[in-house]
Amino acid sequence: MNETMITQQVNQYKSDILMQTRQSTLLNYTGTPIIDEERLFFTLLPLLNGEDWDESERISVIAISLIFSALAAHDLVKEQNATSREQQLQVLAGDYYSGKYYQLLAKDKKIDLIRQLSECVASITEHKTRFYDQQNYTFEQLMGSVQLIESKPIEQFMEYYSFHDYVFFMKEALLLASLKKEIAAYERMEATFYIDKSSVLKSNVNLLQAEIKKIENSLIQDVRSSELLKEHVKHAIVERVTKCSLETQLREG
Amino acid sequence: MDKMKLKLLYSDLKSDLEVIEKELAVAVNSSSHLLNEASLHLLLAGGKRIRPVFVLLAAKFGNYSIESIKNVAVPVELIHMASLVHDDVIDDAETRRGRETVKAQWNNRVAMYTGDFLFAKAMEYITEVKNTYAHEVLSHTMIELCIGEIIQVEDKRFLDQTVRDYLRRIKRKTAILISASCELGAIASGTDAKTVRHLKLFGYYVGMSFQIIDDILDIVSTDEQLGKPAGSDLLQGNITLPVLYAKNEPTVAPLLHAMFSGTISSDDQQNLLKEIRNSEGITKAKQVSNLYLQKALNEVKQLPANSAKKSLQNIALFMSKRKF
Repeated sequence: MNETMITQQVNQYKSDILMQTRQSTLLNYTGTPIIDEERLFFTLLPLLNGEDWDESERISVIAISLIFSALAAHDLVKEQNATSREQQLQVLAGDYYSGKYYQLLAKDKKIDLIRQLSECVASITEHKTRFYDQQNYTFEQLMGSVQLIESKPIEQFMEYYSFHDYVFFMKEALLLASLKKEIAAYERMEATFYIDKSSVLKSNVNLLQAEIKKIENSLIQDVRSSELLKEHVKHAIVERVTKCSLETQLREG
Repeated sequence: MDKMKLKLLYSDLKSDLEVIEKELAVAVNSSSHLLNEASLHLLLAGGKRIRPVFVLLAAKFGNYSIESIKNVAVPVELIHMASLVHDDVIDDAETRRGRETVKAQWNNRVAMYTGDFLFAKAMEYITEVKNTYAHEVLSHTMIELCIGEIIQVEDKRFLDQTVRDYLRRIKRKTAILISASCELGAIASGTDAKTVRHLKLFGYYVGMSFQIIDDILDIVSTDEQLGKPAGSDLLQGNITLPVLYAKNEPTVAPLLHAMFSGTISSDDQQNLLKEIRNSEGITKAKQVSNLYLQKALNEVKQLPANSAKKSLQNIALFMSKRKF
């Protein structure tokens, strides 16, 4: 499998997810749901690496992507004055995608997976509120929260289908991707999701950058030395992991 | 007075409703103190708990056990609570049931997370029910509920909508969750298919009647009775059945058009409410509510005889005649 085939797989899943979320009013006002292709790629790691994969795995991946689309829709609701029609429908878009994920798994009779994923969603909301309450969290605690928010349902999916060995790569890569996006937005003085909400992160941007470098180096090393991952998958992971840094370097000239 | 009557109607279920209330408090317990506070804030605001009541009563037609049926009664109430928190963001509502809304006390984002947390907890609970059809019913209900809300946003200030549009909207927005409460209660307790069907239809008809009464009360009640400003649906641009029936009356039409074109004074807003109150719209809407009530009572008649049968009948009658 080469990069083109990987892209085709990811795109196929993306279009399957979009099929599930087709709703004319939502499309008119909120557009298509947010589907993070990086996240989708890392969710599909076992498939791309040649693991056995059937219809249930396919349905579960779509359901998990819908969970993230639902959460992302709600993250787009403004803290104050969400009174425009677009904002009102953003609230409902998130609820609609949630309902769709439940329905997909209910039809596939995956009641135990629904339970596990619901626990993940509850946990994600708890960790998201860490960026809104006035408690003091350490840098490490916040890193743990970011990682959980970015990857917990995928971890659960991989554990459920016994793809345990992929969890580490997926979690580290998604944490890294998210932190890189945060730093890039922060440097461009754009709104960030985590840094703006946490004085600990804001006052430790240097530490955050060092953490990014550390995770990136260690992840690349682990990927290259992995006996589990096939060469084309290793190449695809490293390419994605380093992409963001290259973009930054190019921008900085 | 009405609240006391409702307590009397629930008296047979008193101890089981206490179990549900305790379980709701356990369900919303979170490791996040902010979510805890927001969820408890909602829980303490109370509510009629009509959905759990219907779950319990419907379950009485099968093998009733509070320990297993609470896994249906708790999630339907959590889903209802979650949708209210999100509705308050959509409506930019400051108060509900006389208390500040979550979005007013914290902000919209916290309200979104609170609602998401409650939805997730509801799904955790319902997965104790292993009947896969029950999950298809509930997931379909959640999607329909959402589509009802989407249509409501789309139909805001649209005066050319028909009575049929309104009825289809409230079916999704309200009736379907009450219908699902009855159906799920019955399915979870192993009730026979014929009785499940009657209970499902009963819930649907009661839900329709209930929502029409709610829409009438929004116009005819006081702020104190409602726990929120009277006429707030109309002020939000939601066109309900009494308004649809009254919209062409000469005293109502110009004020209604002025309101939706944003040129109405606050005095005229009050005049508009007054004119609708005095119009035929209220009487006609009550008649439609009564039609649904009769249909609900017809479904009750076809249920096997037991104590829950009478309770369903009394609650349906109460819900359709209530004054709060």
